[in-house]
Amino acid sequence: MKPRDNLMTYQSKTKARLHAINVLQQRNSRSKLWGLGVFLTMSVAMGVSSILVGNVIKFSKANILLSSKQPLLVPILVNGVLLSLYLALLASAGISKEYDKGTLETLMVGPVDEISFVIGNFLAHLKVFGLTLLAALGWSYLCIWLLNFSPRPDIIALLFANLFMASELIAFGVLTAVWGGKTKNALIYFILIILFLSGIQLANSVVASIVQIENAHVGNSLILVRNVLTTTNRFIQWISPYSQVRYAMQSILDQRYFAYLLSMGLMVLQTALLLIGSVLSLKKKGVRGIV
Amino acid sequence: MKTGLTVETKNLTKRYGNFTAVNHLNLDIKAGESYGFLGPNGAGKTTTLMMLLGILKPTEGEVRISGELVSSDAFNTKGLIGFVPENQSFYEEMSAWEYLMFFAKLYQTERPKERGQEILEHLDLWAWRDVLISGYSNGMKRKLGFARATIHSPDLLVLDEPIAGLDPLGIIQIRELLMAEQERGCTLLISSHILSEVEKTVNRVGIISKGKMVWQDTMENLQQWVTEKQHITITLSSVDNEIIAGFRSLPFVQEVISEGNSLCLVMDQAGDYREDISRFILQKNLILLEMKEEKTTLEEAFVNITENNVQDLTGETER
Ligand SMILES: Nc1ncnc2c1ncn2[C@@H]1O[C@H](COP(=O)(O)OP(=O)(O)OP(=O)(O)O)[C@@H](O)[C@H]1O
Ligand SMILES: [Mg+2]
Repeated sequence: MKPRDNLMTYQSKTKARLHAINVLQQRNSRSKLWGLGVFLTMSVAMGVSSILVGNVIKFSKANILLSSKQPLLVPILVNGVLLSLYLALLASAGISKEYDKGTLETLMVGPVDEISFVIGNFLAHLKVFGLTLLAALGWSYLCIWLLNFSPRPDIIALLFANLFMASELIAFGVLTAVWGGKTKNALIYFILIILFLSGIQLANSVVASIVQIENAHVGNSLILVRNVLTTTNRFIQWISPYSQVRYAMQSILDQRYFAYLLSMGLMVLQTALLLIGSVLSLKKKGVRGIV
Repeated sequence: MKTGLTVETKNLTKRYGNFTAVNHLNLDIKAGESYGFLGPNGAGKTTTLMMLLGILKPTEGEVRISGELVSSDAFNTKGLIGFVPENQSFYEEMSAWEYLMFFAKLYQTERPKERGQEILEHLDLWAWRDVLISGYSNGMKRKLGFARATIHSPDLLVLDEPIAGLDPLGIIQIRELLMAEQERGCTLLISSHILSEVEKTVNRVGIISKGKMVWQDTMENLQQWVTEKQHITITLSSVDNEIIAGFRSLPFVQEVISEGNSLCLVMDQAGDYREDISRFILQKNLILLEMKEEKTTLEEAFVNITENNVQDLTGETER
């Protein structure tokens, strides 16, 4: 048996992979864009941010999020938080559905490998997020124009922070899908992990405020709880994209550009790790979920 | 005409715990060949195909497609394979046309629209091209699976139980499609548990049972083997040893198996011996109650083979 003469070079393999990524990305993003969910989530985001902006304008002393400095960043932030979460869920559901139903098998028999499948799906959802971000930006500028605010030049930096936050969440959605296998499991993993992390953050702030208020009276045990929570919380803040994007936004408002870049770098690093983890576990589990 | 891919396995084995689904299987499918991969339910056909396609990892042994080891990033080879799985699932929210064009793009098909139209028209799905796949019947989905698997004019077409769930017209349409692919030079690998299903399409058959290859030969040889002998059963009013010996002494009778008053005469296929048998019965003054010819069908042969009776008959069994 003579080996095929056209064994692929590294370069042609990369080219083939990029092609697969592109085709998968197009199909997925198109189907998501036609879906009602994205528009609904966007409308909710715009609605919520309109109320917030309205409040800020009415009671300009109220300190809602970063709005005291720039109310018009609110739409972008609210849009970012809601849509990144929604799209990460969609990514998780979409991938696990392919896994579950066996359409992934059909793809992988053809010119698709684990890397192109994971990246293709990731990019599709990120692309949709990017488009909604542009819509939010448009909305912001409309407000700026209507309300006679002066536009901020650093808005682009904030957009990027949002984009990176979404990329981390979507990559997280991809990983839970690969882990969960079945759509139901994937979503449960996704929601549980998010709830757990935000639960700790919430508990931390509650306990911290109690400890602060009743400083003199609290016992040692509560102090211990607070310390554990604070430490855990500090760790979560490093991995939570929401905390990171808050830092990034705060840094840019304070003109601390190095801190901004640090947050961005951290989000990129975590996205990369999540994606690599997804590819490796998909390789390990196999397309049929059997080792 | 292009050259099809070859498929070669060495000691291909898959174990699930203690259970061995595929057991040291050696396949050697040549370029452009049409190979029938047969075996009863649970024999290990699907498991084997999944390993060939890189979907399942073998426990032992290796698979080479045209010399290249199967791996998930063997884009070149994978782009030349078409596969119709046993139970296919689709993107139900897409129309058939969107679905086909998505795969055409993925496989970088030349002239995808013309090719897509050609196939859909042939399969009577052209009028349904814009209907969502969720609205398709089972048979229509089956056909669409074929359309997807052949849209890129593959060099190796792997089919797992291809005609299950199709109506007679559908079977003919699919068969024509397969013939056309084969004429183009495409290698076909068709798994089935019904021999007659692939009889018309394949030139060579491999039969596996309990994960092991128990028979492998050309379709012609298999048919010849099956039709080599003819069996005629006669029922007489009474039978004794002398009568049996008398039948045995006839030159054209190779073997006599008696069961009560019935005798099964095994003969070669060279001629019609019914007249000679009647004459012999008259000569001996016997009373004939019934005479019937029993044809061994391919299907019976297949059952025989898979029940491992084949060892005694051929001596060709792989160990
Ligand atoms: N994931 C699995 N875990 C354990 N056993 C399995 C698994 N998949 C298949 N098997 C076993 O391997 C054997 C071969 O299965 P396979 O699906 O390959 O049979 P087949 O020849 O395709 O049968 P059919 O004609 O019914 O499709 C069966 O006994 C099956 O129970
Ligand atoms: Mg099977």
